[in-house]
Amino acid sequence: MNSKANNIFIQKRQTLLVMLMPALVVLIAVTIPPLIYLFWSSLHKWEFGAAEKTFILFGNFTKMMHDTRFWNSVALALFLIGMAVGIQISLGLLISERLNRVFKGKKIFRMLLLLPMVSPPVVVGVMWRMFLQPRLGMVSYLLSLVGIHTAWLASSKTALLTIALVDTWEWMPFVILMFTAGLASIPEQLSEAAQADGANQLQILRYILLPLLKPVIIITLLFRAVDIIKIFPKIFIMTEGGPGTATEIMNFYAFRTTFQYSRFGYGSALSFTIFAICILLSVGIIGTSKLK
Amino acid sequence: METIQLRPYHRTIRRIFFYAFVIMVTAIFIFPIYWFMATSFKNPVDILSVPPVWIFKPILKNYLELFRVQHFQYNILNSFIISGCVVGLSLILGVPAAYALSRIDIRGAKFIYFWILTSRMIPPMALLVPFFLFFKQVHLLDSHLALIIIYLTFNLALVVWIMRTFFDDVPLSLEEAAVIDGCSTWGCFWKISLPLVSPGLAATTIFCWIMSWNEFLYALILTRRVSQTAPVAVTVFMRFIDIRWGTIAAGSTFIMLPIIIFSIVVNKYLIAGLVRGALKE
Amino acid sequence: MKKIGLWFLVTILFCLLVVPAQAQEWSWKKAAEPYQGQTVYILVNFHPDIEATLPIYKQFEEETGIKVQFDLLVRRQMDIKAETELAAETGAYDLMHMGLWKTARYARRNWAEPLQKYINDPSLTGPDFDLDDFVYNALRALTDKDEQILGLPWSTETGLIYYRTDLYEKYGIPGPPKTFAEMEDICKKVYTKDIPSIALRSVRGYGINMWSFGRYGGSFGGSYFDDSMRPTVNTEEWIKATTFYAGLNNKYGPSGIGAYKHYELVQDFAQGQLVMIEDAGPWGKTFNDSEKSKVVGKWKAAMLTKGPVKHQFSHYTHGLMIPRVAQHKEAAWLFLQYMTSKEFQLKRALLFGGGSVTRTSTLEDPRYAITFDFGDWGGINAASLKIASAVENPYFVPYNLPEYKEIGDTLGIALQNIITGDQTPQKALDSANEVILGILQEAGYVGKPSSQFGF
Repeated sequence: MNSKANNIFIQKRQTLLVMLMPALVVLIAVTIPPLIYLFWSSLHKWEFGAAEKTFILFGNFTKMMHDTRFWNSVALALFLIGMAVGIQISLGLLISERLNRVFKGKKIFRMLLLLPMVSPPVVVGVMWRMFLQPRLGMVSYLLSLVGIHTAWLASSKTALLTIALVDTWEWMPFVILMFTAGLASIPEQLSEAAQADGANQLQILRYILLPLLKPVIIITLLFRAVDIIKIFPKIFIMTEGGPGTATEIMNFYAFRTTFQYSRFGYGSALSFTIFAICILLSVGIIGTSKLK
Repeated sequence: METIQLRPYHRTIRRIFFYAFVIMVTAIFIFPIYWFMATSFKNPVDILSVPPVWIFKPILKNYLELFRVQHFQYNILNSFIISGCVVGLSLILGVPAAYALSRIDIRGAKFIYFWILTSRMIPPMALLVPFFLFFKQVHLLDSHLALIIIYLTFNLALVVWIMRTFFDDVPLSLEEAAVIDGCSTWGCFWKISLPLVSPGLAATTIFCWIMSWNEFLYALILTRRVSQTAPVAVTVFMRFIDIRWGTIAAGSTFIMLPIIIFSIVVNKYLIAGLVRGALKE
Repeated sequence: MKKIGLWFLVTILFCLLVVPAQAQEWSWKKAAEPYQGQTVYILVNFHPDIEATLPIYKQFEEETGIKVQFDLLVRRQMDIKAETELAAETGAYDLMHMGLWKTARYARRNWAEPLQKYINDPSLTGPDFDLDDFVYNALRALTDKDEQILGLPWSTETGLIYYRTDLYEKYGIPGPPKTFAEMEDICKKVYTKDIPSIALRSVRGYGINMWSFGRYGGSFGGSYFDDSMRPTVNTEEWIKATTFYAGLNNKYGPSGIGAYKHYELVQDFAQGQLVMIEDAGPWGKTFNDSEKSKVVGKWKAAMLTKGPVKHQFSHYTHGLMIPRVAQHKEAAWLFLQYMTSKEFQLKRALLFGGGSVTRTSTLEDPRYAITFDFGDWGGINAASLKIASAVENPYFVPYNLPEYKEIGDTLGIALQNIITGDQTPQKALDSANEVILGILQEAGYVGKPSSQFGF
């Protein structure tokens, strides 16, 4: 989007490279070596903590192909991303569009909104497990007042949705924060002009704000997707991957395999695959959005 | 005539609806937190009773336990040192890099950009063991530095990614004008673009802070007692027998406190974002 | 001259008698002399028995001049940390947690220092140590397949049934159930929607639902393996067992039982929302604490019920091991010995209520029975441990296989699926059986006689 910049910045390339390099070097140093180690261990049958390991080339990856629990975990992860990101982006858009104006108490509102995001994730997990306890939980109690009796975590049909909702509760503020920052940079005259032309709120959102917000939406979406694929404490604390395997997403399966079943080689292969899927996912998101 | 009379009436109604909406949104996000914080002042037997106890006699026992028995203040201090360094370093390294990526026109810039994103996608579980082995070799286990280095992996990428989007939004015409006036690249970055992206910067800083402040898995494995951070310390009360809700809630309250203070401080910059719209044409 | 000769003789005799006696006189101070000033670093979970240990271990520091530093974490987080430290051979800890199903894994990876040579060393081990005084079940949990002692237990428990005496009285139930049939019968009689009869752990996991369900399979006559180590967890007996377990939960349990683990069980019971639960021993202390419980004085403990075929127990033991790479092994041994000694276990139980002791002498001490008199807990706990030690030899649940965690998890998933009704018992167990077969094949066990593995 900055091809115009060529002419003035072409001579400045060196300075820009100097600005870029330190970050780049640090990033390479902290990510590439461990990744190589990870890949190397994924080529072995290797028990966690054992001195001896057997080189089996892609044996772990072939095994993965036949592992139904793995495929289940991939499907669940994608499903969870779809669900959580869908809810968060659409609700986030609606809420931040509504709030994109000056009103009394906005400062306080914005500050309060940060709180869920600030809570330690482990505590969020424990807290919601406490709230959602079918009989003694606060949320269950409030819902029972209006006649809703759902054992949120006890059924394979609602457990994953519950995880998505808790994640929404925790991270919606981030989405709202990003969107309001994005909306703030859109000149008010645009929507005012559209309003004068007789467009309704929804049309303004759809045809004016949405296209302009697209870069912010894409980046928010990417961040959320990547974070959701790595969700750990919530599942660890709230469901243990259950009921059955209903919430055992890839990340959690890799954890179990590596640290509890001691299959370090296979676990590494799983982690590496998660990494690969993440890359594919982001290529997909970026590709379909045609963002440069 | 009628319409003129109706307008203020309509406006009031709309305003009421609007504030109702704001309060509802706030309630959904805040009520659980309120309830949880209130827990920190309750006796264990009141915490999980049915129907819930709304009015109770507040106690301070949980806080006393937290600071006297667990010495939580040291954990908070550790978290401060680590998060402070991480956020500082990530911003110092990341913001210029984001600017450069937004303005540079070289082959592979897109690739670099993409690769920075991917570095955030590596599941922490996967890097845990390699990092542990490495830090053991260099004798950095249970040190602040180890966590600072690791947190840099995800925070640097975060800063570059978010900030680039914001830099992209800064109209080039402004910089072009400055260049003509003899402004250097650094000058453009420092004097023109950076002030314009201050709301983005504030948001990024908060986000960055949260990511390192609340990080759990690495902190658990790579620390022992010297550099143990607050989120790890607070989970010690999630015991096998009885979860000490009160003490956990007390600890969590203290974990949330810095961010609340911080967001009050940077609010000015966040609000600046509202005014900024006028700059863009 | 004769007198001198006599005196000489007396002196020699005296020396002969006294010197060896002096050499035998063993004290903590003397044993610890070479290790003074060392610090023993301990990584262990925050267990109530450790909590009861903390106020009184300082005496060890004073007597020996050895410092002790506890790093306390939550159990499962501690597990990950411990194994990472061990795998990387950091040697940062001198004592680390080891429990029932960890022993086989640690043994296979050679992480733990065998303790026999310390036990046999008279300069390091006091004459009062008495290995045979440990509850058999507890010591066995920390002994590997080659009969090497890899750790010493500081807390051991079996499952117990807790029931509400006031509600039993209300419905005219004479006493706690002794068999599964009686258990179901009582559940039927006392069930109301507000206060359901029973709850058993449902959430999957080798240490969660499998901890309490583990015994059901055997109680109904099932076994994990056939003679050549092929899994047999989808037989008639297992279907009966899972159906019974799931049935109790679904018919007489609270709604949302599918997400219950010990937290929910304990909280519901402590809030007076359940008539009975079957869960771990240490809860007794929680239920008797008026700060945490609304049912103080209204409950009693009972021994686990007999199945139609066998009487089986669920159990767990917490211990500490000395890592092979530890830096202060002798000092660590001294503290481990101190912490698991007869006196200390008794003191811990009497002073701070750390009741899940591992010493038979403590369990049989009359003062123990008095301290833990509430709800018959102390007596039932001691009796259960004794019977469990006697009946469960060899193990029914394959705790002694390093693959137990994976096997237990597989079965745990199947069980939770049965409880939530996602799969029929037959289907769930068939697929679990297949997965376990794969695990055993990969480990190279299938085809070997199962007696070789102690089954």
